[in-house]
Amino acid sequence: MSGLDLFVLAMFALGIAGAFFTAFHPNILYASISLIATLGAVAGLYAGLGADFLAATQLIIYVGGILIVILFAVMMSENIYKKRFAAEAKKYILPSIVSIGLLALLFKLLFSADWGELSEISQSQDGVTLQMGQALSRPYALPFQYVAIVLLFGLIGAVVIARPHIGKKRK
Amino acid sequence: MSLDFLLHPTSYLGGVSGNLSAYLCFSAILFVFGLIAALSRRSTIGIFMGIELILNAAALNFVVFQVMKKDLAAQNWLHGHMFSLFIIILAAIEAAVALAIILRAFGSKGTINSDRISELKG
Amino acid sequence: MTLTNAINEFFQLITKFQVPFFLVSISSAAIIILFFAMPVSGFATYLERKISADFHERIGPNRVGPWGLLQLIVDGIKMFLKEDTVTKNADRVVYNLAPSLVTLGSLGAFAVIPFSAYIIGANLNIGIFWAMALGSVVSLGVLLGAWSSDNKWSLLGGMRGAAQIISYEIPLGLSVLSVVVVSGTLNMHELVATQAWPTLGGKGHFWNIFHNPFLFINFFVYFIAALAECNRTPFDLPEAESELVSGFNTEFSGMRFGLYALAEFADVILFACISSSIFLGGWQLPFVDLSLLHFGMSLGGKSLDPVFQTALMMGVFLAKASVIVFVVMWLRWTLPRLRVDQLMNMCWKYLIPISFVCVVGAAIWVWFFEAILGWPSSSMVHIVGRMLGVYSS
Repeated sequence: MSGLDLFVLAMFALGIAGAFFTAFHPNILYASISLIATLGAVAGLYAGLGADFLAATQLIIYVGGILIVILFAVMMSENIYKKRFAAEAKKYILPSIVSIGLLALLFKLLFSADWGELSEISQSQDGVTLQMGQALSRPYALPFQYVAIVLLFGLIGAVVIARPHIGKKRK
Repeated sequence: MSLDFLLHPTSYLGGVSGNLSAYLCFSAILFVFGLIAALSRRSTIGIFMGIELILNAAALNFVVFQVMKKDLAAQNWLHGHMFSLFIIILAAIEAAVALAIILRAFGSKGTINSDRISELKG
Repeated sequence: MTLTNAINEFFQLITKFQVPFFLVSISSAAIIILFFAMPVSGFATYLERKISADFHERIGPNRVGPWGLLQLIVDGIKMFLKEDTVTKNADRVVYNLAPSLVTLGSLGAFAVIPFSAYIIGANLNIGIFWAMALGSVVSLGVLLGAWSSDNKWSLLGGMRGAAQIISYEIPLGLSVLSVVVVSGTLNMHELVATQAWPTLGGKGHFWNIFHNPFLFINFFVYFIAALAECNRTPFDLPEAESELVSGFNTEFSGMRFGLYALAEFADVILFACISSSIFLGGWQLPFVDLSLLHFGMSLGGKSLDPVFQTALMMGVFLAKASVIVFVVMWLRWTLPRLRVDQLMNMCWKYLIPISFVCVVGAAIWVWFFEAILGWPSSSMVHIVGRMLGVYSS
């Protein structure tokens, strides 16, 4: 068992525990905190797979951006201690059964599927960051610009939605 | 399975970092938990967090296939990494718009319970 | 080195010595904190008090040890021994988690700082990006700590802190991006190595701040944004003591407060180290390339050059970093605090447009001189050298 195996196993455990609490914890704030653990675990898995740039991007966008926004929304919207699990428990029954069935199906699929020829994770010292940069500036240049425009309009839309008095005259 | 598993766990778990199925199992579990959260939570923020889990599971799968499949790894442009990158960027946009909507709904309805924000229901 | 290599190396150490994993992680974290971050940050608190005393024409700490130098040890003991209070309605789990998140964010980034050409924690190929990614964890710790302590002032401070940090990350990232455009690498060691004095036929282009006018402007953008990132005056709104008692860390005491205070000073030192290595040339000096110096001494047949070079480089690097730390403290006792709307105006209306223009300007500059004219380097030093006929090739 190599060191990387140990790390990947730890990340699996962290990620699954975090995902479990994200789905089932009655307190929405704790759910969002366990989401931090899951997102961090996915970042760790990216790091283990040699996708350094993605690992750092995951940290910077998810943990530094999206989770902050989620926490803002949680803190500003609900009285989070008022909610009790018992009131909502029965709403979990049907989705859980369906989802566990889906999980069984997925497991059956992925253990019976033929994935073709597999290769080892490359252990090169250079990483793939340079390759990613070249891909972004050549075949993916247009999609990247497109995403940039979508981001711009998405942010403008968010501002327009979130501001209550836009379009009305101020007194 | 015999008790060997408990005595020598390392011999069974060794090589997990290079095992495609292990990653796929992990992301399947992540996906399912995300689905449960999205279907059964009544808080809109909870639903949103479930969707984030689903997106993460998908993004991880893209990278795993890119890194481990020999025919994909032989190509130049890292399509799997690119897909994950775009998923992360689009998730950021989604978060901004979704939470703007949630805050607006809270402002006008006083709740973010998805059962009670049901005016558009026919 | 990729992150995968770093993880492998770290865990191979563990499997080699056959000790439980948690012991190693705890002890290595303790080593980093005890032998680097604690003393340096503690010394920074002493320095801060001395400098503020100078500005106020006071004497400052002078009782413990010569010139009060041992004050930092006494302060540390005080932190450890203080009663650890928790407010009644505090959310215990989050309350305990938040200071460690902040500490993780500010200490983890020290791994990629190149103290010399030979001393660097992890020579990651995404070095500077890694430091920024870990820096974004800090805002999470600030917000969670503020919320969990069940205090209005704390919550206000935490909200301000999170909003400020995620806004100022944009100009910060853009100004770092302009350096990356010029240097063509994210690796901290290579970023410093490319800033060598341009010797004949060499590849260096001197300090990035003097590479072109746009980078000169962007250095100041970086400086201002980084000040806001580490919540220092004039941007210390999250802990504005005249409005919010002590902001996001009001309810923290004892070692938890100690971690927040430590993280703040560690952030300042980290920012000084990063800005001196990506803009001010790190361990590089003008007119001489330290990594090519020969001292002609040897021990047991091995040349002692790397030892002397390392000593010189670390001296140069730490001198630059401490000048920046001094300027940060100078600003604290000189400038008044900004208002919240002024803070946001400054970020979104001034710093972001300026840094955008500078990124594009730097890219055009490099493209014009290196792609159109075909010169090996586009730095100002190189251009002046060409005009004087030094580098005619």
